[in-house]
Amino acid sequence: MNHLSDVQFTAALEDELDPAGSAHLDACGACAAKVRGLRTVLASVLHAPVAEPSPLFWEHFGARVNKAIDSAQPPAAASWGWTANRGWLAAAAIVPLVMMIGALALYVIRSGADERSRPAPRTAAAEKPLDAGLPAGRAPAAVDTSDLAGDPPDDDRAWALMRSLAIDLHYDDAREAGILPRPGAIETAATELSALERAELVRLLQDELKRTGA
Amino acid sequence: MPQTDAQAVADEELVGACVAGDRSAFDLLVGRHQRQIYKLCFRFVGNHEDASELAQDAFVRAYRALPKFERTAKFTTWLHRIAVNVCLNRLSVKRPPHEPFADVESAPSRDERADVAVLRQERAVWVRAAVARLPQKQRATLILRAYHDLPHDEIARIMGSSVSAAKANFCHALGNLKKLLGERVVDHHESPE
Ligand SMILES: [Zn+2]
Repeated sequence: MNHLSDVQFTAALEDELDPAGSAHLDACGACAAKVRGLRTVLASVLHAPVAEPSPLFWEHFGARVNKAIDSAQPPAAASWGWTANRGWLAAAAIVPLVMMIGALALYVIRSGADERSRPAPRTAAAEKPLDAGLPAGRAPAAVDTSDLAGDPPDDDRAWALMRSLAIDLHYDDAREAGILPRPGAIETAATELSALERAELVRLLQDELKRTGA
Repeated sequence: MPQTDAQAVADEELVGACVAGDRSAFDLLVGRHQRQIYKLCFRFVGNHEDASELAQDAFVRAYRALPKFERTAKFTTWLHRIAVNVCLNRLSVKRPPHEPFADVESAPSRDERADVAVLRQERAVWVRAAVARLPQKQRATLILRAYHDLPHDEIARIMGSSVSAAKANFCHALGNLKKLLGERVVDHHESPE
């Protein structure tokens, strides 16, 4: 004998059982007992009311919903916020980079000028900012660039690091941060450096990254 | 929209007005359905704090999704579906402080002088605790059918299942409740109300 299916039990509870099911229910004590048991449980369920919140709650509920809708950031605003944050992060990252490129460029220019013309001794005041980022014992004369001048840029650690930094920096982020170098300025600066100068730049950048904890 | 006219306007028309930029139309929809949605959420989580938060969340999600509402659909079905999803999502990440079944079991028994109202209240706590122990689909189906009186085909649409599955889930839910409640279930047709 096939007993009632779950669907038929539900139908029996709701007095919508089909004729065949009804006939079975009349003849089957097990199914009839199960329907009685389910009906009793359903009655207990129906007699478990939810406490109604205070009228004051309903007065404020709509206002709370409206406030939540208004305070929820639309996607565009959220995106802008993220872009703005990235702009500041980019600014924080690029400031020491630009400063070091400038310092190194001046350093290279000055060292070249030193070799060519041996100018008069500099004053302490003029020398301090240029040497501030350079380690002791790294005299310009120690930088030998002759054997590495022709290295392809992509094989060069300095160039790779410069490229990775430049790739990570979005144009809009730099503009947001108020730092917008001339197009190609960083590439130009890097490619105009010799391999050893670029190696020195890498070392400086890495020191700076370690120092700032970036 | 004037209050007197608003009563006669169908939910689906209010949705249209809201999508067209009439924010007051959404206020009317919230006012119409807030009690049902709150109660639905309360049935899931069993406490006022979470229920009010979930109901609010359901309306906020509904507002955002209004432009995607299909005019051929029934707004209440759509709204209930959002609320059920919000509740099920919450239950999947956080078990709310529902009335604990164990505590109810160990509660001191009422003496024979306790009045009917107190006994009924106690039974209601047992039932809510037992409902909270049901598998999620059974719980949702039971709540929508028993407390919100939704037809099985509408529950099926809300749950994204077949009508047969919705009916079977309802039967399973009651069967499991019978096991959980044991001797506590009483025939209310025989007890005074
Ligand atoms: Zn049978």
